[in-house]
Amino acid sequence: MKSISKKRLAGLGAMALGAAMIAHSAYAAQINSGDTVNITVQTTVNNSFSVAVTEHLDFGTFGTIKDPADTDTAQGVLGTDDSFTEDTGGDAKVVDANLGDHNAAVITVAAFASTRLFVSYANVTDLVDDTTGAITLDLVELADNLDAPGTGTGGVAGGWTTGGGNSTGYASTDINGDLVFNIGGTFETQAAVTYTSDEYAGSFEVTLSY
Amino acid sequence: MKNRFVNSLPALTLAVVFAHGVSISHAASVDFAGGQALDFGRWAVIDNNGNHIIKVEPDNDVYYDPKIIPDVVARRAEYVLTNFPPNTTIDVDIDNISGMTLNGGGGNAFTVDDFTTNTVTTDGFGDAILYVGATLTTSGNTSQYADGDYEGTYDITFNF
Repeated sequence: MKSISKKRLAGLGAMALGAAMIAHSAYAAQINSGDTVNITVQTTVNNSFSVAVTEHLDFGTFGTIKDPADTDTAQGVLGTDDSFTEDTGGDAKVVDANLGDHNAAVITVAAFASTRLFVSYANVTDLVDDTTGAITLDLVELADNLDAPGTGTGGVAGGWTTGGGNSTGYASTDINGDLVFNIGGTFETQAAVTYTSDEYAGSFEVTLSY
Repeated sequence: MKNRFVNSLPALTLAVVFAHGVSISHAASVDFAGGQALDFGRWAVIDNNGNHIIKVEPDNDVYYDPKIIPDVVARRAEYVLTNFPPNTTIDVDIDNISGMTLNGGGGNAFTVDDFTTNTVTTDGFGDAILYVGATLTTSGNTSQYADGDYEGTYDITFNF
């Protein structure tokens, strides 16, 4: 009985081997010595990434008081956290209307995972009134909540200033390739200008690069 | 003891005959469909102002030029060789290498060269694994590469 059992096992083993070889050969190229096979090599370029302006930078509603002597100016500062800082200390003033309608720009990026991106600004224009286009609020600074070059500590703003140019900030996308950052700014009144009630608008370009 | 020896003999004979039949009916083969093509992965290039490279070694070490940002990591080609002569070093020649061009045509191309393989020596069953690495180089002509899949080809010749 014991020897018969061995015989059956050997037969089964041979059958299993045969089946495996046939299955494998169905996916294989038969080769003789000296044969040549043409093979594919491949790659994918993906230079582009997705950027969306989820929220535009909006200084909200505020009032201005002109310096009677036409010498003092006032600034309004919008933080990347949507906070607004009025300027009431001098002869010229910027006074928050307290409508809660200030919001920093929100930029949403989808790119490669865990990849550093650099952000810079260009073609920054002042804010002009909607009716005449002749009354100007100077946009003097843009500040983001990216890391500034050489710091890597977080919370130190990159950005743009009048005359100072760019301080190119950077940040890395997360493991899903997502990055969200905010841009605040500072405007400044002109000393000799009486500002009319109106909407004022300007623009700037944001450039992202690897 | 005598019974055990006599009854086990036919089983051994059957196994040997069957195995001999397999080796005759199957030529040496390379599993290309089930293998892994040489793939330089998915990536972005910051500029094309110089020749930037991705190098893949047969041991799967990968080097990227600092101007290249990888997303999906490059990997070597891997192919299983079966039914080659046992315990034999297989001579593998690579030639007729084409540049890599965008699927659908047009645009900038990549150069692929410096192909290298592991030393392919079959085991006692005539099996081995072939690994292939190479170097991809950007044109350096300042023209931007279009997004998309790029492909090229090369020939492998086996001598054994």
